[in-house]
Amino acid sequence: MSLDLLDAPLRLTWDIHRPGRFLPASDLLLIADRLRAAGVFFVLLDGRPLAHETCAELVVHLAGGCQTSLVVSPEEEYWGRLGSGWPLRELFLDITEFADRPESSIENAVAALRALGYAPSLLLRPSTRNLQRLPALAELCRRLGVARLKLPNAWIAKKEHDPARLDLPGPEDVEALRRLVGEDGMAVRRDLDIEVHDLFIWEILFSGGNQGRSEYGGCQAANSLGHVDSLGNLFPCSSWPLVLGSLLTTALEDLWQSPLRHGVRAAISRLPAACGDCRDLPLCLGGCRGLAETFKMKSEGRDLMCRGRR
Amino acid sequence: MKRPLRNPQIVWRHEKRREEEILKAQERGEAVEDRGTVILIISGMMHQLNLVGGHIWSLCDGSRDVDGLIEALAEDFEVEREELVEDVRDFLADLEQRGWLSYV
Repeated sequence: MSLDLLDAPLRLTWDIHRPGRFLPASDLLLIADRLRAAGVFFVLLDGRPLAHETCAELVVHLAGGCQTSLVVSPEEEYWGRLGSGWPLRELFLDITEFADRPESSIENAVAALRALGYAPSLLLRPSTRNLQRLPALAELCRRLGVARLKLPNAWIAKKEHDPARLDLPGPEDVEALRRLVGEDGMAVRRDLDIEVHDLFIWEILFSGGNQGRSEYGGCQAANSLGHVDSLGNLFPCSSWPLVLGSLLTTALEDLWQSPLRHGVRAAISRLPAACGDCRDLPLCLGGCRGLAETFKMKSEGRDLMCRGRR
Repeated sequence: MKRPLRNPQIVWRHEKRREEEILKAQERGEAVEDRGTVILIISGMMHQLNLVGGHIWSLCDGSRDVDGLIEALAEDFEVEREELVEDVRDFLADLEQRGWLSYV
């Protein structure tokens, strides 16, 4: 069955706080109402949500209709705002910036979250600086008894022209990881639930099978995925810095019916010419189209981690 | 009489605008059996139910038995009664086997 053109996204990431760029409580709750009214299933409060003083109220408000997850940082300045018993689907400890620091900072944060009654998962946003640490971090998860490690898509907060400025991994980084892991991706995944967004990392860890990927129907930006920034602007996903409209002024379902949103889906449906007769196109379906579109001068429209046709 | 009830652990959504488009397509004589109108997330995986399946799913709220469900469907779908009964029973059996509904 085709998954195209849903009435509203199923999953949203929402960055509710940037220094000097955030909405008052009333606006946050208005947007939360709009997400609930549209029937969004899952909301991930990403970035530094605890920095917003309304975070606790927002989580409770969202819980009336959406399953909400929260991201916290190991050196969370606003750690004291996180109470026990928040109605969270999942709590993620974002170790993206901590992958090359002493493991004690991660250990201490996991212990603190457990003391509050949570069973945290770890979140690692792949970058040139941390990708090669992946096997060691998987081992750290096992040692700490953390059951889940999530590797989400890259988050582009503003338009950039050079992926290197954002530390986005490229084909060389993926190849280095492939050499590091070798043929035994299973060893990295052992006793661990690893969720990987990017195909080219996924296939290293899940070599020899398509476990968990068989339902992949291509880039879901502006369809089942969406992203909201700290000012209430809606985006196709967190990797695609194109404003579709404001949730302060317009219902989510209406923005999802806009020509801009349909334009994004039309762009996704036109597979990159550079993918041409690639053997693996039926598997990757063009990969991450948001990054490819943002940095098209670099990638010829292909996924930024793709080294070329196979 | 037993009343079918959706598994409350399953999150689901009725795609109303999409259904309007599908109904228009159906009126134009297009095949719509493979087009989903209800989205379900089960163990992190997305599933879809088509027009008839989605309608049955929506009615499985524990308030009516199978005969009542068939009555409600007969009002909306022009199909031979015998065929409708068989399809509904098969579909409910499939949902029950998957653990997506139970009877109360």
